[in-house]
Amino acid sequence: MKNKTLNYDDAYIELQQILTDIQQDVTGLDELSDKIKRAAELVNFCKQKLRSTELEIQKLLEGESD
Amino acid sequence: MSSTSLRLYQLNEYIRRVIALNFTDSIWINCEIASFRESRGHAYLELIEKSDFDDEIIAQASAVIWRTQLNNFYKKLGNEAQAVLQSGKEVLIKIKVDFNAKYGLKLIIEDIDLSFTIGKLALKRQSILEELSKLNLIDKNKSISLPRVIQRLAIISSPTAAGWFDFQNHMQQNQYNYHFILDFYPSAMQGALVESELCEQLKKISKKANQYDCIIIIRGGGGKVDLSDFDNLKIATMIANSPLPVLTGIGHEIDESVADIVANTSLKTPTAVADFIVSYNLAFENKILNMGWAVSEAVRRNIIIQDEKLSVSIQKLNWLSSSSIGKFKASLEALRKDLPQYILQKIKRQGIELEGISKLLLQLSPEAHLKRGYTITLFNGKAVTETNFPSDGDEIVTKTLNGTLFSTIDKSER
Repeated sequence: MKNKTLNYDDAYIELQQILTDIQQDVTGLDELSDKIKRAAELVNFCKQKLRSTELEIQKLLEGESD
Repeated sequence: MSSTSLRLYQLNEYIRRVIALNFTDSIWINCEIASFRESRGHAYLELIEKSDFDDEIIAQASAVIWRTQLNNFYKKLGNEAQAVLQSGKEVLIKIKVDFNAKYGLKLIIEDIDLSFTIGKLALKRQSILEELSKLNLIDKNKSISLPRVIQRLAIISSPTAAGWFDFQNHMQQNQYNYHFILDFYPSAMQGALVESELCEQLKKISKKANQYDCIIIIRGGGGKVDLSDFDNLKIATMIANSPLPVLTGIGHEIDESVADIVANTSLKTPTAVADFIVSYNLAFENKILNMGWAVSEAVRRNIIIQDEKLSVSIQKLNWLSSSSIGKFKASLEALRKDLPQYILQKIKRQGIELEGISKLLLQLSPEAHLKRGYTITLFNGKAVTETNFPSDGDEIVTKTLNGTLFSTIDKSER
């Protein structure tokens, strides 16, 4: 649900944040599994959006609202 | 007067002869092409010269390139010929002046000096660049950064251009299966209409800028002169001021048009643009995948580190407990070793004490007293005390070291 409004920029920035957090050891062991889950989610979001035709629908909707 | 009148044919024949006589050789002339059309293999042109002051046409003539000659040009000059033979182009041409009684004056074009046109165009191009640089427009579109992913494209091209088909194929059949939106905005890509149509489409797209990631201007390859349609101040200004980054593939292998120079990213050909976009997105995807990988790697390392910390703690604990047990054991062992010695000592010590006591006891015995000269007096077999006190006439027994004495009391006093 969090992904509905997500775009490439957001995904990239969030992923980068997760990476820095983990590398800087800010993340507790308990949070780790959540973070890694979220990272995988973000990567998949980008991979899918790059190949998704949803974009067209989105554009149509945007076009209507113009 | 009337007897000397000529028939029209006679007049025209006369003019033809005058001209033929005076223009025996071909001559080079310098003019602008006002119009150009081909019919049945021949090319028909209107040539003009404009006033330097006010662009007023001060001379005009019809010209023709016969089929054989036209084919020669096309063979010799290729695309360049087509590009030069266009309305608006300044040309240096070799002509033969011809006058036909029926068709009138016609300039028959025998040769074209391409370098003249190119030189003229280069001058024009230079002045456009200077103007753009004065307006700070050269790098304006470059200052817009491309989005992280290029996926929604507004494409300006000619619907019949081979470049457009190449581009579509490349984009739609990219090996990574990336999806693209390709919205097509048709425009002439060569000739006099380029300026107006291209600018019109750029304007249209700018109004829907939020729907696109960038604008693509592409067409199949052309010659050097052909490229000059894009050496255009109005087009360049619109590209520079576009709210979206503009990518060009209007391709010439060597030269860059002004449109290329002001564009955000300029590439040689439409396929090069397609390849650029696909690999641009690929680079983004790789970056994302690498970050994902780095996250899991960092987590893995994190877990290893935590694990190591844990096992170090366990080791420490083990070591600590084993060492304290060891200490305890050692003291126990020492105790075990020392115990007999300790007991012996204790016994010995007690033995000495006992000896002392027994000596003391010996000293306290009645015999010891007797030995020292003391005697013991008994009455009724018991030691004499307050209650067991003999009276006059009673018998008492006195024990000495050397024997017992029996006596009778003569007198007792208390």
